[in-house]
Amino acid sequence: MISTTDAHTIESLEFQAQQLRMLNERLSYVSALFPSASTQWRGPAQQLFDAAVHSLHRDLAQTRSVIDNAEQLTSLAASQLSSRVG
Amino acid sequence: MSDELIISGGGSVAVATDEMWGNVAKLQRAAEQLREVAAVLSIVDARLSMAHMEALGVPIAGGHAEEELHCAYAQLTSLANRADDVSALVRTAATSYGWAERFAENASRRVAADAAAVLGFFFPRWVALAALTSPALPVLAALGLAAHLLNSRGVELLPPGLVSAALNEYITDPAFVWALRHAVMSSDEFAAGASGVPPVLVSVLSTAGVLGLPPMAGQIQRTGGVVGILKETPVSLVSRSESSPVEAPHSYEQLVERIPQPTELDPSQIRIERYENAAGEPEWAVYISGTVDFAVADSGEPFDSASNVSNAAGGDGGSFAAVAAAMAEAGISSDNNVSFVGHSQGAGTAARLAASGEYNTQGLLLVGGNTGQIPIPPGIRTVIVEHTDDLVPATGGLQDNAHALLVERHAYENRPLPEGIAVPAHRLPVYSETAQLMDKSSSPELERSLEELLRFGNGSGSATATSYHYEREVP
Repeated sequence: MISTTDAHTIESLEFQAQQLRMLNERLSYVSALFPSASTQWRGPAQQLFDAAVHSLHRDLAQTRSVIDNAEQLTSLAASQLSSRVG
Repeated sequence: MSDELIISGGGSVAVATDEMWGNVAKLQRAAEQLREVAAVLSIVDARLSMAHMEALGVPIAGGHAEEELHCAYAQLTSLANRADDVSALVRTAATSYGWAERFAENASRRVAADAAAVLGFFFPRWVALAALTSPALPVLAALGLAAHLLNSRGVELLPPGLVSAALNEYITDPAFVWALRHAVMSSDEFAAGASGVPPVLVSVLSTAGVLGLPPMAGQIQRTGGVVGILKETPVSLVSRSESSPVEAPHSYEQLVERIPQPTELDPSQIRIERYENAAGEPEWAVYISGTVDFAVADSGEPFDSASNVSNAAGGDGGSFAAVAAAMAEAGISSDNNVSFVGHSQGAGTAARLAASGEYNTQGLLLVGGNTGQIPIPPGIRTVIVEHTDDLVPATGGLQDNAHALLVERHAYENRPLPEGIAVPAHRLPVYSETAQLMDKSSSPELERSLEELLRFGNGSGSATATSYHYEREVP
């Protein structure tokens, strides 16, 4: 039997996991807004622009991975809590 | 054919390609989105704090999730700031390039003007010397005269294919167009020098703005009048079509495609569309064709070379008079909102009508016109489209309407010129292709300008279009 407090906590954790999934989907749209390497630049400016754009893509992917991890940990906590018998 | 648009002006010195402006806008949107996601993440995180979870006995995984969320929030905030920084970097690059280009243009304008004054000052002696030492010059002059005389009798001196192919390659080169633009700007200094004014004084007069393209064009017109060419005459209405229902345009391409292209079957040079705004007041769109006849004398066509020179000189030429008369015929008052769309001479005429101050001009779309030295009032939303391989805009001199959004494209880059078509980059269908690219562009400036240009048709239930054909009254 799950206590009322645990039930509320599980609900909160599941809600958090769902919100994190949605935010990660939204970040995939943001990723599409970042430009790709440009043919419009030349010389050092091109290197600077391409490096900046590359690091934006890389760090956004890393952030999405962190949020994905947080979502999985949240789901795991909810699952562990629901298997606890009060 | 190049699909790259170079966009500049609009009150800014920045010069950049369509792709670069698109990147600036996208990076700004990305930064906004990242800040929104960070804000939502912060709210989600606040619902279950670490202390709260510990009190509730949430398993350790929940605590690790919290740590990951703090890390994600910091990364999202940093990403948003960096997206803004990269966007600013692109804008700074465009602005720096624009400053450099403006500096180079001003410097080359000054150098070309001074050189023209010196060349003009020594011109008579230089011609005499060249004529005496080079027999080729009189021969070439004679050939030119013969070509003119033979062509005027319908006899061809050279096969048109040979002339057009060689000539087209030359006059369609952007370097030639650039040189022509500067030569046009320096023609007044050259003339002043040739008339005996010392180069130093020419330079002072030029800097003071006493000399310029309009006075030079006026001088050409007056000189032409002495020998019976480039004379202005009154115009009169020949025909007017029945008014037909029309839908408001939705794109740059639709605006450009509505510019009349007079033919023998339909010689109308002017199309006027009448809309009604939400208050029930009439609003108008006036579309004006390009040059119909390049004749310099004895032409019944008001859209001729005389009108081109009149537009450059700042006078009311035949095309100006024809459009003004058509607008009066349509019932356009000085209070009514009106937008002009014109190609070639039609663009110059539209700019002159807007500059006249006689109309409540709200927007201008000027395509392939010689508008550079026509002072368009800064308050009018103006989009100027020029191909860098089209010599016609260059005949209007350097584009000095800095408030106008200038869209440039090298239309025949990376593809052969079509055979048998003189100055192909000047053709309306090629400008129509550029208008398509403008519609596809992600430039926020182009989007804003289109919204302004299309405002007159918004919410209009009933709209009508009427076409007008005018002729000169030849004495």
